[in-house]
Amino acid sequence: MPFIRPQIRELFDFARVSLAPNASATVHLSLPASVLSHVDRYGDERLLAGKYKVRTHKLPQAANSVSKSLMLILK
Amino acid sequence: MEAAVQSMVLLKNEGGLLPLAKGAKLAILGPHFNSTQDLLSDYSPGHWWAHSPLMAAQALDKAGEISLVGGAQGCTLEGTNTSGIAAAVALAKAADVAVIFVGLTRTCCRSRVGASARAAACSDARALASANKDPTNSGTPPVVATGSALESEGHDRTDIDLQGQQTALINAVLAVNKKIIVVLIHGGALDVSNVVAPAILDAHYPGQLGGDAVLRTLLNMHKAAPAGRLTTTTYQQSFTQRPMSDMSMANITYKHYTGAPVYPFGYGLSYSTWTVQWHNSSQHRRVSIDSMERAHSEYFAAVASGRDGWRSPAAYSATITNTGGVTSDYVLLGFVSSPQRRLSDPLEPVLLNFPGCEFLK
Repeated sequence: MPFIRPQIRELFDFARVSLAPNASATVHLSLPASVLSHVDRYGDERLLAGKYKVRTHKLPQAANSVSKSLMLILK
Repeated sequence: MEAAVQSMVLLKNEGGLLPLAKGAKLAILGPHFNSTQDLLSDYSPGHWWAHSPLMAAQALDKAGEISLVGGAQGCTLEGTNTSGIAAAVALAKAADVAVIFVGLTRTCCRSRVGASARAAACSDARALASANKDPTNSGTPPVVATGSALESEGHDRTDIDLQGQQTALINAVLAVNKKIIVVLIHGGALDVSNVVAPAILDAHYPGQLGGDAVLRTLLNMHKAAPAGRLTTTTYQQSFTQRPMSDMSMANITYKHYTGAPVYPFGYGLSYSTWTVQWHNSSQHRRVSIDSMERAHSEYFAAVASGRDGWRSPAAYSATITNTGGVTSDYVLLGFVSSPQRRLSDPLEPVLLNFPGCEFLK
């Protein structure tokens, strides 16, 4: 039976940094299985194979930030 | 203080009105201009020492950080009384910038607990005022709300616009001074799309040092540049037409909402500008379901032990650069979206097929 995940999008992680002007920092976001998994009609938690889009927020003041989304292929 | 400052969400900042320059001549206005207990969140027991926006401004005035023109309530959270607006407008005229504290309240005059907390708040405010020996602070009683400005257990709102004369106050002040900052004091949703102000700071219920935290943020004192993000979707007033009995998840919360929100989940501006660059060299990345499932148990073990450093097989790194001139925090949010965009709740047909549950249809 085809199974459709209901979420349009879901927050999976966030990172907060404090930076002086012109300073940079590297942050790591981890996508846990619990965000991708789904409980099916039999009560089993399952990961569903397929393509998932990973992206950051869109904000007016981060216009230069990554506009492209990444693709996670789960198989 | 640190928690309150970190929670501030900057919703609007046209023309670079914020941050304010040191020494700015400020008028502190609005229903919450001198609120103390009303700065605390729901279920808080009340606090013997809470610092209102006006008290915070008086302290900053003494310290030479700002020049306080004065404070006035202008109007209460609800009702039709506009008699106080003229005094607020007069102060706004004399100021460089008017800061208007509007919003909701969680305290209700009808409950006995609320009444005693309110009495305590009034005497607290008066005691502090007399200690400050400041004639402008008369310890104005906190706002008494009973209708749509009140949010509390057993009191759901059906209207998420600003109530009473609050919008009228903002517009009256705007007529004499375009430099106004609207500060929102609230817990639940507020549609502020009708608020025509160049700057809006969402403080929510900022706690006992809320007045100080707001002013520090507006002045960017002690590196208090705002970096908070909205934790909910800010819907338009029309969203309240949705029946509360509608239990489907269709078109609700940031996960499913497809309409145009006033402000989306995760929104929040900065005093600086930023670039974010993914490290991943390839746009596509393959991860096996097996490896994700193995990591699943490790994840919960890591969470349970409070251990940092757990990495999912699907981990993403990014470099954040502060490209503006202001030292600030920045919050990067990672979103994942579904393979299919079609919305359906797979649990719904199961529930309706339980014997004896036909009445739910």
